[in-house]
Amino acid sequence: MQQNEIPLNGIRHNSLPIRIVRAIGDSVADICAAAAALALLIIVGICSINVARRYLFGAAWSWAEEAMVYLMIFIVFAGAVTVTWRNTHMRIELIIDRFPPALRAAVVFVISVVAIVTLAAMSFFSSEVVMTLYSFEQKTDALEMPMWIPQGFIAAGFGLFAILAVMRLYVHGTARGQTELDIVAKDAL
Amino acid sequence: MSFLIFFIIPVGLLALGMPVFVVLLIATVCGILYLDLGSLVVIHTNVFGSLDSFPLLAIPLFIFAGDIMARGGIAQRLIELIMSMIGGIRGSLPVATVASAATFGAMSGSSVACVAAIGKLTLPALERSGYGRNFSVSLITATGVIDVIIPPSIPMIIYAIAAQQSITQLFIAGIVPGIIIAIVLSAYVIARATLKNIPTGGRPRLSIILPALRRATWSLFAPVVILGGIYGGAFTPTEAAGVACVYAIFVSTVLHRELSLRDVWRIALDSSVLIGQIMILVAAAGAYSWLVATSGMPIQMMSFIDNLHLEPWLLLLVINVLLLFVGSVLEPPAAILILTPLLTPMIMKAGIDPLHFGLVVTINLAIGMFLPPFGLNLFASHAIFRAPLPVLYRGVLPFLVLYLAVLVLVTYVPAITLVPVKLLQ
Repeated sequence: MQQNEIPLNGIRHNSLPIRIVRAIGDSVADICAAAAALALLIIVGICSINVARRYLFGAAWSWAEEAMVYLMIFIVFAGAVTVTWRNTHMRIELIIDRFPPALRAAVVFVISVVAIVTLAAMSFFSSEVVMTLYSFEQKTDALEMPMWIPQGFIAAGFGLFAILAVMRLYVHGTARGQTELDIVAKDAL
Repeated sequence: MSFLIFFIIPVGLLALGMPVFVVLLIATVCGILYLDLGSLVVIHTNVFGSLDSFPLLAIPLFIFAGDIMARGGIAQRLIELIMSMIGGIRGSLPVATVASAATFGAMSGSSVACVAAIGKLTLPALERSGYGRNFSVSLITATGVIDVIIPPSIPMIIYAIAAQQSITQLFIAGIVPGIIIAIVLSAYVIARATLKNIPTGGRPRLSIILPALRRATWSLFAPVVILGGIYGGAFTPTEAAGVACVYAIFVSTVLHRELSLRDVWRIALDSSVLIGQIMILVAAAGAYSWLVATSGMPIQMMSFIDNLHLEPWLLLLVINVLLLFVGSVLEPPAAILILTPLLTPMIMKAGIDPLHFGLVVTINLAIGMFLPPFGLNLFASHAIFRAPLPVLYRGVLPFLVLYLAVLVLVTYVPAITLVPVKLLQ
């Protein structure tokens, strides 16, 4: 636990509920990262094979671009789920890190709640679109895949952001996440 | 009220540490509700629409390719080759540091990683050769931002998409400014070494260069594949990035044998998380850009600028100051996504080419990364090399002056960026 972390929940940090929620959060983040990494490797495969097919056989897969773009949308939201759990989204921390610990914790708590409400609302409104597409049975142009699937990544993504942000607030309180700078500095030292 | 929604709320929430993508979403929600633009469902449509783009795919692929090259020995072998060829003239070691940063920067997408990697490889040699720790760390801090300017640059891709410009043309526009910065920095370090009478060191020896060249042979083809493929018209930037991934995996695992397939998987894991971190901003910025366009804000800003009767040079000066400040507190992708929808209509109205402006934005944000007191690379060097911040603030000042001089040149001589584009079209 970091020095400026203020426990909000009043529960011991190694208590069973905390450990269970932390384990669930870690698992979700790991699964999302693994799924995103797999999608990335599939994109690399499709992209390079498609270039080779174009130069060697003069014909590229017509569905390739669409598949790669939808996989990218999946990567963005799956990867960002992991980022949400690790609390490493891009933000400006220079000002808030200079606040007294108690004030900082209070501000971070309010900011977190506002973010959670916004993300949950985004998930709700995205779900409306997805349900409409599902009921119309609309399909994509090249892959002829149900359109609600790629659009559903957004609804599911925002929903998972909101849920994991709540879980993180419960487990870690208002602790700051590890930034790229922290990781590079730790590796270097 | 518009000022509150488009400026006060976002800036306030950013200052309080809210994630940038959530700030963009909240600003969009507030805008839609205030302007009564209909259901919030439109945010979903714009988030999807902003990501549903094939050129955008270049970003994840370049991030992955860069990470493999940086961690799979390709970048390191190129740097070792550069280091083997130095000597014989004063200042050759810092010049090699600049060249190494440019090489690593062209492959890695992260300035902080560039500072760490270049620092590890060159700092001990710089100190041994009498350049002094403060100068050496400041040099590494300032040259670490070159990756933002040297194509293929992730911020350039993001700008190109946000401003609806060609990625290839923006890359071409970035070639000469990148070279100018490298030359100016090199000239400065040579002049400084001469003034300080720092020993030249031994001449480069073939017995060292040839083995380094042999080791780096496959690495040398990496930039050829990426940049040659794009500029030669063989690939689109997205395809070049995909081919670069395959090439980097093949060279690192089969030829160099520095990475196992398990390592490649780990890198894919790290890259996908980084992609999520950067591109969720693109998604949220898509909705925010739509709001900005629909609200009539650009027209209001254009008429505001019209009423001020600002000359283009003065407008560019004001924008430069704004971008320098923003660049020092916000990472380039976030800054570009927030500001491009607001600034591009203004500069186009003033008759400034958006490609040229893309380079102005890129260089400003690069400088912002080591601009005292908040530039991210300053904190990176402080953490990595244990360099005191006040020492770094003083140490980077000469480099800051040089970068600013190049910025002025690029800002007020559009031919530097636009002539290569016209020639290579």
